[in-house]
Order: sequence, then C-alpha cells, then structure tokens
Amino acid sequence: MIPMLIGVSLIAFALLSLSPGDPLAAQRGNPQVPDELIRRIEAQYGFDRPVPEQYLRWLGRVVQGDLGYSFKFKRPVAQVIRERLGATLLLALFSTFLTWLIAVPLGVWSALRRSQWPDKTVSVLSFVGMSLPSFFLALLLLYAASMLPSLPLVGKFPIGGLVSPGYDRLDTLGRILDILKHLLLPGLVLTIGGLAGLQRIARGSTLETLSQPYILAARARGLSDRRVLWGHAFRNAANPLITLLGFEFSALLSGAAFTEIITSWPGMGLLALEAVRSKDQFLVLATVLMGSLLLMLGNLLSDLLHAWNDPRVKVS
Amino acid sequence: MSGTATTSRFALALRGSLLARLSLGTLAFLYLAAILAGWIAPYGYDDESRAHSWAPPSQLRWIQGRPCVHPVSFSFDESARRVYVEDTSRAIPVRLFVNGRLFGLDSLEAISPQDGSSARLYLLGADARGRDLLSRLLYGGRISLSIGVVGVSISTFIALVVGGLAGFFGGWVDRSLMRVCEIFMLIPSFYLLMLLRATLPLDWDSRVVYLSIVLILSLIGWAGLARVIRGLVQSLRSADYIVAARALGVHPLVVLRRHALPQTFGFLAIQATLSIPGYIIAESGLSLLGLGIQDPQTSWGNLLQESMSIAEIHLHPWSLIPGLALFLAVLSYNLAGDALRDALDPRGGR
Amino acid sequence: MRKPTLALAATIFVSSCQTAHDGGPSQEGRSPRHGGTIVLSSWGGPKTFNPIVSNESSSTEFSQYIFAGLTDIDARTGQPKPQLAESWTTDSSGKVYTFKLRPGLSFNDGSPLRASDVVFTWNKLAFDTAVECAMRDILMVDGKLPQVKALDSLTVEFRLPTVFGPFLAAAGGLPILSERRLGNKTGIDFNSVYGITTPPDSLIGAGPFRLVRYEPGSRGIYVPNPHWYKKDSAGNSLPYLDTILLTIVQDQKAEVLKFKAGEIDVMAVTPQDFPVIKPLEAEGNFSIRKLGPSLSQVFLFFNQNQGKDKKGKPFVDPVKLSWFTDVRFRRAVSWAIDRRNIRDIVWNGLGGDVNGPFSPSSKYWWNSNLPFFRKDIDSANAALAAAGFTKGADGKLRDAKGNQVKFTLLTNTENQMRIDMAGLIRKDLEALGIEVMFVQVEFNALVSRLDASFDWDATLLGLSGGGSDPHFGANVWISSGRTHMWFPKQKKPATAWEATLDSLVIAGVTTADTATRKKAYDSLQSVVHHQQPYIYLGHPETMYAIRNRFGNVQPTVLGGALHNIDEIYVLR
Repeated sequence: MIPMLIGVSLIAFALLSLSPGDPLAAQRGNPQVPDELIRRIEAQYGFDRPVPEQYLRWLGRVVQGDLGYSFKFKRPVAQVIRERLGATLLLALFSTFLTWLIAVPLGVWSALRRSQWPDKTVSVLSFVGMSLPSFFLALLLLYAASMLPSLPLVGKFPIGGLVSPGYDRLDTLGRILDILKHLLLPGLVLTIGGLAGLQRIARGSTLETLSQPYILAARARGLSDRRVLWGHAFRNAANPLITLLGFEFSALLSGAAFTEIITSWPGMGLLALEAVRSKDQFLVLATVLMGSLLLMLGNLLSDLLHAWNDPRVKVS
Repeated sequence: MSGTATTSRFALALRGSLLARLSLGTLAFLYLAAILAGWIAPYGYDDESRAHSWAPPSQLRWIQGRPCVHPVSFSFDESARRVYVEDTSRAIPVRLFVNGRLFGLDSLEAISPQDGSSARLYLLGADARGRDLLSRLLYGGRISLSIGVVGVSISTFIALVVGGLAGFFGGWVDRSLMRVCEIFMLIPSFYLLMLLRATLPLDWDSRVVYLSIVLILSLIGWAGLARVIRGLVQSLRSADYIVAARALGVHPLVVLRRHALPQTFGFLAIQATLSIPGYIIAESGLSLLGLGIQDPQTSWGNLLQESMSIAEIHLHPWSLIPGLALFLAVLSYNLAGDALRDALDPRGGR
Repeated sequence: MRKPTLALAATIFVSSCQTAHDGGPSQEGRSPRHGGTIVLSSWGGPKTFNPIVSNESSSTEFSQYIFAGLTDIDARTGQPKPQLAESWTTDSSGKVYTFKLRPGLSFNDGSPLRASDVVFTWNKLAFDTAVECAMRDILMVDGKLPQVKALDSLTVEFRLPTVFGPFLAAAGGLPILSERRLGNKTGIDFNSVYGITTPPDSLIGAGPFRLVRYEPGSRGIYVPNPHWYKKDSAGNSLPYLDTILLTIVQDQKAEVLKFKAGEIDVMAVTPQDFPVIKPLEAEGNFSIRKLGPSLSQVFLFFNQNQGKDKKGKPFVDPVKLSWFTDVRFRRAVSWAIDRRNIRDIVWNGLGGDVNGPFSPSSKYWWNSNLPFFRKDIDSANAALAAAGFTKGADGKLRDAKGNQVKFTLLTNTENQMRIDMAGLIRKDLEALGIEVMFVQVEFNALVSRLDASFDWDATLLGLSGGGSDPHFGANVWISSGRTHMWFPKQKKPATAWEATLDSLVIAGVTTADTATRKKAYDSLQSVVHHQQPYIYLGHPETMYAIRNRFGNVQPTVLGGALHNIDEIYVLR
C-alpha cells in the first residue's frame, strides 16, 4: 500500500512540476507586494530548489506526518483537508445511504415483477438517471433554485455551504435538520446518478438467485415467497452489491467533484480544483494522496463486508 | 467470441428491442447532424449579431402559408433585463435551401429597408454575442461526439500494448507494468484529469488543443482496460497453437501481434462502445470548467460554461439546452451498449 | 467584482481600516439605537487574523473590524482623516510627522493603548525583516527606514529618510497592536501569531468590534468593543449594532443564493447579477444603491518585452514586437474596440466610460481633462496606414514587410466576463483584418507567463481598485517594476515615454504638497492615455444591495458599503 502511495505522489509531483504557474502568482501579480517579500517566501518554502530535491524534502516531511503548508489557505494542509474531507464523506455517505435505500428494494421489486410494466418503467427510468451527467443535473437543480422564491418546493432548500448562518442558535435536532437541508440538493444529484447502476445490479442478482435450485426447493417446501426472498435469496444476492460498494465510493469521489463545484459544496472535489488552479503544491499532493487512500479504503471495506456476508470468502 | 458471431447476435438483440433500435437511430441522427453541421446549421459557429445579445428562441408565425419570423430588437428595462419586442410590420419567411444552407432566412430578405439592420432566426435562442445556439450546438456536436470515439481508440491502443506485453511476457515485465496500471487506477479520475490538464497548455492551434484533450482523456481510461487485456492474453498464452508457434521459433512479438491480440478484439469492441459515454462526459466536464475546447470553437460542455452562473441560468434558461443534447447522446450510447451486452451474454441480467 | 482579478488584494492597508467617518447621527429622521444583528458575507474565509502579515482581502475582511490604525481614509473624499490619532503635524521639510493620540485610548481587553504600542508595532513588527509585511519595503528608501519614536505617552514621531508624499495614505492605516500581548512574539514567530486557530478573546486590537467566536470555514461572530473611542453626537457609545455575523461563502453563486434567501444583509452586486436581484427589492426588503463607476480596471495590453532568454532567443517574435511597440498599432486597436458593446453585452449596460488608468470615482486624482475612449474605425485605419500596414484583397492585414498580423490573446478562465470581452475584441479586430487567437488559461499559469517566461502576445486582465493613493500603483508604471506588465523589470527605460513615466512617479512621491502631486499624476494619466500601453475597456458600475432595515448606511465607491459600520443601526 505504501509503495503504491509513493508512486501516486511521484506521478502527481511530476505532473505538477511540468505545469506552468506557481503558488505565489497572486502575490506576483499584485503591484503592492514588493519583490523582496516574494524572494523571501520562495526561499522559506524551498521553491527555488531543483524539483527532485523539492520532492524528497516533501516526502521526508510527510513521513514525519507533516503534510506541509497551504499557500492558498495560509494554513497547514492537514487542517484544510480535515475540514473538506468531513464534508465530502458526509455527502458521500448521505447519498450512498439514500441510493441503497431506494435502489435495492427497487431492484428486488422489479426482479419480482420481471418483464411486467413496472419492471420496464423502472428500467427505462434507471437508464435516464444513469445518462444524466452529474453536472447537468446539478445545473438543472441550480436553475430550479434560481427560480426561488417563485418555485415553492425546491426553492426552500439552500445551495452552498454546510450550514445556515443561524446554525449555532439551533438545538441539536435543529442542527441535524439544518445540515440535512443543505445536503439535500447535492445529495440528490449524486443519488440520481448512482441509483440506476445499483438498481440494475440488485435486479440482476436477485433474478440470478431466484433461479437457483435451493430457492426452488425452498419454495417447493412451502415457504412463503417473502421468507424465501428475505431469508435466503437476499443474502446471496447481496454479494455483487457489496463489491459495487467499493467502486461506488471511488466513483463518488470523482462524480462528487462536479456536483461540489456547481453546488458550492465545500468538499474535496472543489478543493482539488482550487488547489490545482492555484498550483498550491502541497495541497494538491495531499488531496491526491487522500483521494487514493479513500479509494483503497473503499476497496478494503467491500472486501471486509464480503467476508462478513459470505463465510466462504477469506480476507487475505 | 468472434466478431461475426457478436454482430449477428447484436442484430438479433436489436430486432427484439424497440429501445435499442430507437437509440441507434438517435445516435445515427446525432452523428449525421454533426457531420452535416456546415449545411444544416443556419449560421456559422462564430457568426455573431450584437444587436441580438441573448435573444430568446424565435417565435415562428404562420403567415401566408409559410413559417415566418418578425425582426426583434431589445432595450434594457429598469432591472437591466433585455426586453425583446417584435416588429410586426415585417415578416421574414424561413426558407429551405437558402444561402447555401438547408434552411434559414434569406440574407437579403432579412435586411431592414429602413435602418439596414438584419433579422435573425434563432430556433433555440442566442448567446451573449447573438450567436445562434442551434448552429453552435450542431458544430459543437462535431467535437463532443467525435472525442469519445477518438479517445477510446487511443486508450484501447495503449491498453493493448501494455496489457498485451504484460500478459504475454509475464515475470518482471508483467509485475512492473501492472504496478503502473494500479497506481494510475488509484488516482481518482477527476484529480488525474485536473493534473494532466494543468500540464498541457492550450494556446496552440485549435486542432492541437483537440488532440491534447483527447490525449488527456485516453491517459485516464487505459489502465483498467490494460489489466483486463493482460488477463485475456495470459489465458491465451498457454493455448496450444500459441505454444506451437513459439516452438517453431516465431518471434514472440509476432506471435503476440498476429495471434494473441486479435483474439481479444471482440471483447474490446464491446468494451469500447460501453466506455464512450464516459469520454463524452469527461470532455464536457473539462470544457465546462473552461479547461477544454476554447471559444470560438465549441463543444457541448463549452456551451454549458455560459450557464454556470445563477444569473445566466435564470435569465437565459435556453443556455441549458446543450445539456439535453449531451443527455440524449449518452442515453443512446447506454441503451445501445446494453443491447450489445445482451448480445454478448444473453443470460446477463434478464 | 470579486472574481479573481490580478490584484486579489488591491488595497492591503486601506481595506483593513474601513471603519468610521465622523458623521453625526442619522440624517434619516429616526434616532439611532443600540442592538440588532447584521449578517455579512465573505468569500473563502480568512487565512489569518494577523492584520500586519495578511495580504489578501479574504483575511482583511475578517480582521478589519478588530483593529484600527492611526489614521483612516475618508470614504467620500479619499483623503486621510483622524482615527486613533486625533491630529498630526508635518514639519517644514515634509520629513517629520508627529501624531497625537487620543487621550484615554484602550485596546479591546481594556488595557491602555499608548505611544509605546505604536512604536512597538512599527519598529518590532512592521520593520522586522523576518516579518512578511509589505510596509517595510514600501517605506524603505536606499535601505533606510523611517525612525519611529515616542515623544511622550500620547505623541509619536516618524522621521522619514526622504520626503514621501503618500506617507499618510500608506502608513496611517497600519493597525496598532498591543506590546503587552505580543512583546514576546516578535521576529519570525510573529508571522504565525493571530492565526485562525487563535482563541478569539486573545485577538487584541483597538477596532470598533471584537471577535467572540470563529468557526473555521463557516463564520465569525463579532460584538462591540466596549472600549471603542468613538461616541455619537449625543454622547452615546458606538457601535450601535450588537452583533456582526460574517458568513463564509464559497463563491459569488452561493452568495447570491444566500442573499436571495434572506440569509445575508449586504452584498456587492455585479452587473451580471443585477437583473436577477433588482426585481426582488420589494419582496426582499432591500434596495440596490448604484454608486458610480468602480475603481477596478480592465484592460488589454501587448507584450513589449525587448529582452532575450538565456539562449539569446527574444521573448517576443521580432516581427510582432515591431507591431506591439508601435504606438500607432496600439491606438488603432484601441479605436477598433467598441466599448459600448462591452458595456451593453458584458455588463448589461451597467458601466462607465474610461479615459485612462484612473476611475472617475477616484475623485481628486482623476484627470477629467482627458477625453473618453471611443470607437473610431476611420482613425484606426488611418493609424494603421500611417504605420505601413495594408489590408490585402483577402481582407487580412499585413505589415510593411508583408507579414500577416495575427496574435494570441490570453485571459484567465475563471472570469466569464473577460472571456466574453475577449470574444468581442476578437471580432472587433477582425474588422481591421487582424487575426486574433483567443486562449483562456488559469489565472495562475497566466501570471507566471507575464512574470517569468514572458511567452505571450496580448493579454486581457483586470486590476481591482487602485488603493487610496495613486502611488500604490507605482509598481505598474515604473519601468523597473514587476507589474509593469507590458515589459517588466527593465534595467533602464526602453522608451522616452517610459522614462517620462518613471520621472512622474518619482515626482509624485518626492513632495508632500498635494497639488504638486496631483499635477504629476495628471501628466502620468495623460502619457498613458496617449501611449496606451494598457488599452482600457471601461469601468463596471459599483452597486450594493442593502436591506432596508438598517439606518445610516452610506456606501461609497471608495469606502465600500460598510465603512461606517460602527454608526450603522437597525431601524425601529
């Protein structure tokens, strides 16, 4: 795992040093910032050294747990990441939860109504959901929000930021509701995007399982459809879904980026864009590393769930 | 799975599914429209008319048995909104085969005898500089629709080379190539997109810009595919005829190129079709952030860039239309890909 | 206009002291009262609360309420006015300034503010080489810094090495910090003092408010500083407001939505957003105040760099350089541009004409005798013909040696307004037969090309407000300056008119007499107007949307919406 992360950082560092621009552009372009000040900052952060040396110095510090300093935010990178990571995870968990809550029952249901009109309708709708690019969906919701206050429903939900200004005058319940309100629009964008794939897989694996001999046998023994379904079939059908969870998570990281940018959600995707744009070296490296780490963790999580759901699978 | 068998199964699947036929029809229509953009579009992609800044979609009137438009002009109201009014004293017919294009307003008829101003036909509305959205949409389709196909081809090629070499030679070649693949797969694609984009400057010729964007997209998609190809080639390596060929002293690379890789083509064709929508979306996303195709050249994502602000989206909702085109293309590809998948594996899912 | 502009923090010191003006109680017929909350917004959040080392507006927006300096800038006239110092005198040489502090001043923790704190702030903090403070470099002349010393507990004397005209405007606003609190935090350590993790009650300043709470990435909460020196004319304590909530928003989009939802009370309105916000005035109980052309500038400029890189290759293709350095070419381009179109299409008709580097809103310093730039295609063609350019049968312009005239125009991708302008300009120049290739790059990459690789033809950029004194833009005009963007860091002036600019900048700074300075800056504007190293495109309108429930709000272009924040109150 560690060598892989070093590889990731090497690629990121190489690409970054190939690209034009530097973290001090804002200062350089400001007529009121003297040259002397810029030279001092350059020397202080080692931007005047050769690239390989800069990389090794950075690596050395990271090994000691120091992610460096963000030029754009004028704070330690670790602090910035911590804030944004929380927001992204919240968004990812919220939309994953919502997706699963809707998609799995929908998939099972349409499997049971196979080839009947509900199945076909759901199938077409899921293709539509799958084919709506997240940024277009986000723009559509933004349009709806811009119609505020003439639009009664969507207009009530805020876009941008995590909480309302009056947040800390609220009680605990109020705070949770406030965050949920802010989560809703970006969360909805991601949910609609993820719904389709999951629903199709849930449907497919339920169908597969329902055609297994032991299910037929269980039915023959006179067990009710409901018990067969939830007691036997579902557990087996869940396996491919769990594999998907890992992927889903990583897809969310990328898919969430556009949603975050358009709905101004202060998460990692927006951070990555800001960091690359301002060539905030240490921050870029940290966001990329953190993204890779999350991806690894997502895969690990799905392995563990597999093992838990299916005793035949051993975690190696 | 050989290519011809897939094709015939695909044809079978098509016959069965109305949706699949519809989607293929839509794709054919979109590509045809993009290819013929220079003839179908009523105006050029950079043909502006500043007096028609943000003109809304033209109202077609039926006058003397033919569709006509009235000339429009705007003034700012107290909220600085553009209020367009029609000049009903003049009606300009929309004609077929006019100005060397499929349809439009005759450029002579459009000119006002009073003040010399020129009326315009905006079926989908205009942008800030009075350029026709429909025309830009058609021209933009050339880039948006082709970039997926070209990108997929390049990344498939990279994947073939890397996966083929790794699977065929095994050992340290395999291990090191696969590590590189894994590292690339570990970087979330949006982050990689941003990083790659930052390294390629865009102030070259527009063709170079197009190619560099294709290259960026290909560099993101190749790794996963390379791993699959490696697996396929690995399993083929022990096939009798390959072992025989090597025993006869044929150069390993020749064996790889002539015999092992062609076996993967059927699978690749399907894989490629399925991943085209991803490329189309990635290009649009990049252009949406202003990092892709540059004005006056246009793509669907680039057209959507205008609607990134609340004000534009609120006042000029027609600037969202390119998103619909994007949606239509992606939906069609997904439906067609699904039919293709069914053809490959009739059991899968149904 | 808070999209990323070239100078993200145009007014380093000025914006940190936008506080009160000496107005009486409200002229609106209702008597002011204490209490109430105002909700404001800021983009991106502060990077530090340290007012001495911060050099971006997102930070000074947070620190400006907490700290105060000796003098302030009058939001209406742009001239210095008393703040912590109640008066000052200059000796006849113009080199010695003596400030008299108000008696009985306190920091917000109740500890007294004395002349020793002023001396400490200057000598130990601002002038320390280890401290990232631009003031030191601004005031240094030939390696010499002003000498600051306390004459008694209420009197501070500044002895400058030479006469420095903009001294008050530049230096008066430097926030005074507490020696008692920071006496042991000098040197390199000071750069990290008052970071955003500092407990709010240990931010010791003498401004009208103090921070009581900061939630990173979310907002800051301010309450009145009970020790603020100012009283209203009836002798009541100021400020009137109970609370300022300063909310952090991600960007303009989020800000507009929050304002529309009623979550924010005051917002700068861009010409782009005006049409969306204006119709909501009655329903949202706010009014939009139009204040006049903004101080920000947007302009097009050509690369006139005559330098060569390390391998001896010229930065700019000599063919192109010969066009770009020809004033007739630059004038022709300027005449070809339709600025009315830019105003109507890009700014929805909300903008003002431009005649040079200063905005009419900069009042005193603006040279009103210069005509506004106008489109004049005949003059453009005549200028090109005079310079030997000819338009061929193919409609393309060629220079005297037969080279086709075409160049690349850069702007930054973050700013849709500039992208639209570039599109208009490209088309306008097509009418002259000039072929323009338009490219958008990230702001960052753009600056590094202007500043380091010098690999560009033409650029469209902006500078946000010029600051309270024209000298703050000196780096733009002086030929050795880093932001003399058309040909930066010259060893000696490349042209006679650039030498003139150099001497005018020096003339503007080496006298303390305001009328003499005004004459120098008038000439400077005239040279720039005629030479057009920057081709100015216009000024967008400055507008603020302010809820009607606040009294005594007197926004100005120079001071912003809330320069008198301590006198603003909630109407009954």
